[in-house]
Amino acid sequence: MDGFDLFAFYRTTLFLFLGTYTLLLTISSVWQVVRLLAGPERHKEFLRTYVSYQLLTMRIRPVRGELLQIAALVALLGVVGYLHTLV
Amino acid sequence: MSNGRREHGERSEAGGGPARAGGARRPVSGPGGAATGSAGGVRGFLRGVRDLTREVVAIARGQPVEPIEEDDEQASPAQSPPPEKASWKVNVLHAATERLRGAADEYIAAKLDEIEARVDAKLGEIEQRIDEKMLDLHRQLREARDRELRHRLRLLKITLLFTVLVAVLSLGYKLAIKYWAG
Repeated sequence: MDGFDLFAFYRTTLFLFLGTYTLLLTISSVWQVVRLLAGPERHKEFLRTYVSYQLLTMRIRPVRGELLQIAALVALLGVVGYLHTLV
Repeated sequence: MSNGRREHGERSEAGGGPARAGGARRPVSGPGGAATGSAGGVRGFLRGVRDLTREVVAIARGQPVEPIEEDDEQASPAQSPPPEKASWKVNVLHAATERLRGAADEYIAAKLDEIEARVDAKLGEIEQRIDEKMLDLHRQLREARDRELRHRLRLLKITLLFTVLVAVLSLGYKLAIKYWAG
């Protein structure tokens, strides 16, 4: 049991578990969206056009605060990860 | 009014003409001519009414007025109206019919214009309401999209926050282990 670190084990297990869950959930969601929008039918073509229109007309201003906070947290996570390499 | 009076006079003349003609022939017909003349007067009057009705219908249909065929036994120069009187009667009837037709056409055209204006106004109102409803739906969808996006970003922010907390905890743990290990 020399060199076994319980916190490192917990940290690695949590990262693997949540990383795998996030990856599967993302792939499943993207696949559902692709299945919903794919097809030569008229209504699906209209739906694709409407989704494209919604994406193009999306405005940053209502979610600007959230995006700034997320960017700050990502930067902080990068700094903390870099500090892990120094210790 | 003068035309009406003249037309009425013409009708009475048309009805009474044969009667007078029959009465004029009464002495010629001999005994029993009174009954014959009376029957011929009524018959002539009815024939005059029938001819007049036929002419009115023909003019109303826009057809030319056909010459009335006289019965051989009753066709005589005294019973048939003069040609200028017949043409004058036809002209009067034609003018009256055209005037009635013009009035009816004007009334129908006015009513059609009124109905068309009402339908146009109603269609414009419906179109305006549809446009307003579509704009309202578009605004609601845009607000729902922004709200949903903000909600997802908030969840991502919370996840990142806990990730940073765990990373800071991990860094402190590493520092403590290094400090205590010496």
